[in-house]
Amino acid sequence: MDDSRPIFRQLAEQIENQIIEGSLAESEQVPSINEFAAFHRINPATALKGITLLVDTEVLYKRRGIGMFVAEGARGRLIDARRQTFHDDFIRPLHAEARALGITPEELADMIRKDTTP
Amino acid sequence: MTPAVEAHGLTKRYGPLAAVDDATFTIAENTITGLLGRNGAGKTTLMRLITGQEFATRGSVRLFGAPPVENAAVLQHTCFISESQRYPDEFRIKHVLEGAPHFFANWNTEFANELVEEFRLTRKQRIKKLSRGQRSAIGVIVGLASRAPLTIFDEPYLGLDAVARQAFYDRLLADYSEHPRTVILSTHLIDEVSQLLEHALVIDAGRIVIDAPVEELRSSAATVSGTAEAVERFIAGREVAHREKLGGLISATVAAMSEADRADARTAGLEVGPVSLQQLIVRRTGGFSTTSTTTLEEATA
Amino acid sequence: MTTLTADTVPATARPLGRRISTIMLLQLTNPMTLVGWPLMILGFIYVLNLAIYGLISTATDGASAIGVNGGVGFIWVYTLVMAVQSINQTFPLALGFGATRRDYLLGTGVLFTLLSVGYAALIATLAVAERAVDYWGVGLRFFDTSPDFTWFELFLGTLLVLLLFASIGAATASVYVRWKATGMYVFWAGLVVVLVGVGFVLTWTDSWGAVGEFFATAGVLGTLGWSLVISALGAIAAYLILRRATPTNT
Repeated sequence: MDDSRPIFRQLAEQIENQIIEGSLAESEQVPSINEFAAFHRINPATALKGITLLVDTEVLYKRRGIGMFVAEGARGRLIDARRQTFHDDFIRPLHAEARALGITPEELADMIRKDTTP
Repeated sequence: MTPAVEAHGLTKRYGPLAAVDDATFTIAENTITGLLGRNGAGKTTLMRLITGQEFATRGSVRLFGAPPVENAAVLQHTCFISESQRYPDEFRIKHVLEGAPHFFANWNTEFANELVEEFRLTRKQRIKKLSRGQRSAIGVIVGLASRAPLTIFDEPYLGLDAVARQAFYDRLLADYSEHPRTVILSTHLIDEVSQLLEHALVIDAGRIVIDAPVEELRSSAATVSGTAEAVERFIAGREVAHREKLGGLISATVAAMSEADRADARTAGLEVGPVSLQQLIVRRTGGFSTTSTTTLEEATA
Repeated sequence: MTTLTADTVPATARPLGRRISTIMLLQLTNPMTLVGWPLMILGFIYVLNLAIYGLISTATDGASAIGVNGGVGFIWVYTLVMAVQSINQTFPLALGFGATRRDYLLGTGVLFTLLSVGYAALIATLAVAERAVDYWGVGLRFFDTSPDFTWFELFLGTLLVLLLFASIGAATASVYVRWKATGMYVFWAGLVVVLVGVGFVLTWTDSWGAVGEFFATAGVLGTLGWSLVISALGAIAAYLILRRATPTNT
C-alpha cells in the first residue's frame, strides 16, 4: 500500500489481480474485512470501502452470516474490463518511452514477439 | 446519529494566548481520528477540553450529545491517559491495572495482561522508575484495555521504539476491528499512522486548519516534477501548495488533481508522484517557511 | 463483536454510591499509603517511646516519668500530611480515569471520614489498653492523654481532632492543586496574617480572658465539638476550590 492512489482502490485491485491470476477461485471465500485490515495494517473502514467497491462491480458477493465470496464469472468480467484499459495503462506509456528512446514501432513489435517472459 | 464529539467555537485562552482558537468540528462515532499538529499547536489542550479536564473560555463541546464538564454520565465512557499522566508516588504498574477496572465498564483484564507482556513490563515495577517509553506503554495498555466508547491517546508513542510502536498500532487496529469505538489519536508522526486513520483533524496555532477524511486528503494532491518550464506551464491556474527548485527542475505539490489531470501531466512528459499525508499536512499548514523554496531537511523534519 | 454507538451508550451515570466507592477503592489500591505506613510508623514510634521510658525508668529506679509525652500529636500532623499527599497525587489520575471532581471529593471525604473513625477507635482502644497494663509500669501515657475519659469520650475526641486535621489537609491540598506553589505561599501568608490579626484584636480588646473562659466552660469535648465547624468549613473550601481545578501532569 503506498500513497499513489486511494488505499481502498489498491486493496480492490489486489483482490482483482488475485482473481485474474487464479489464486482466488470463483465461489471461493475471501478473508474478512478485519483480516484484510489487520494484514495490510489499514483502517477497517478503508478495507470495507474496497470490498464494497468490488461488491458494487459484482466481483464479490456477500453471504449473510458467512462472509464474502468471489462471484461467478468474475474472472471473465475482470479480464474484459482490463482489456479495455490495457491501452491507456500499458500501451500509451510504453509507446511514449519507446518514442523517447527512438525505438520504432517495428522494433517494438519485434521485441514483444521475441520476449520470453513467462 | 449523535456524533461522538461536537465542538462549536471552542476556545481556551491563557491570558492573551489562545491555545485553542474557535474550534468547530465533529468527530463521528466509531472512527479513528488523528489529531495532528506540531508541538505546541494545541492538541493536548483540545483533548483536555474534550474530556472536561480543562474549562473552555468560550464556545462549547459535547460528548455523545452532552457537555463533558463534571458530567459523570458522559465521562464514564471516556478514557484519556497521556504519557505525562501523574500517578501516585507509591504506585506500581499493578496498582494502575487494579484501579482502572473500577472506572471502565468494558475493561478486559486478560487483554491488559497480554499487553503488559507484549510491552515487556512487569506488574511489580514502580511507576516512578519507568522510562518514558515504559510510561507511554502504560498509557497505551490502559487506553486499549479500557475499551471505552471514547478513547483518547495523547502522543502515545513517545519513547516507544519502532517495534513497540508497531505493536501498538497493530493491537489498536485489531481490537478496534473487534470492538469498534471512537478513537482520537494525537501524533506528529503522521506517516506512521496515516493508514490507520479514517479522519484527520489538523490543528495549527490553536486553529483547526484541516478537517477531512484521510482518503480525500491523500488523493487530493500530487507531486508534479520535471523541467521548470514544463512544470510552470502545467501548474498555471492550478492550486499549488508548494514548490521546490533544484537547478532547472521544479517539483510542485498540486492540490486537486484528478485522474485525467494526472494523465495529462504524464503526457506532457512530467512525472506525477504521490504526496504522503505528512508532506501534505506540513505543506498545507505553511510548513516551515513561507517562501517558495525550502530545503529537503526542512520539509521532511 | 461489540459495538458501542452513541445511541447505545448508557446516558445515565452509575449510582452515586458506586461512583464514590470507585474513588475510595482507587485511593486504597495501594493500602500502604493510607493504612500500612501510618500504622507501621505509629507502632515504631510507640515502641521507641516505650524503650526510652523503660530506660529512664530503670535509670531513675522506678520513678514515674513525665507521663503524657504528646507523641500522639504526631498522628495529627501525619493525618494532615497524608490528606494533602493523597489528594495531590490521586486527583490527576482520577480525572484521567473519567471521574468528576465532585465525585472525587465525595469519595475522598467519605474515605477520610471512615479512616478517621477507624483510627479514632484504634487509638481509644489502645489508650484503654495502656490503662489496663498500667502503662507498662514505666509511666508512658502515649495514647491515654486523658485518663478520666471513657472509651467513648476518647474515641469522640480523637475523631474530632482527626477530622479537623484531615479537612484542613484537604483544603490545603485543594489550594495546591489549583494554584500550585504560588497558591501555597499566598495561603500560608494569608493564614499567618489572619491569625496574627485575630491575636492582635484579642489583645487589643483584652479578650483573652473571655476566650479562655469560653474554652473552660465548653470543656475539652465541647471545644472539639466547635472544631467540627472548622472541619466543615475546610471540607467546603476544598470542594469550592477543587471544583475549578485543572489537573496538571507535571
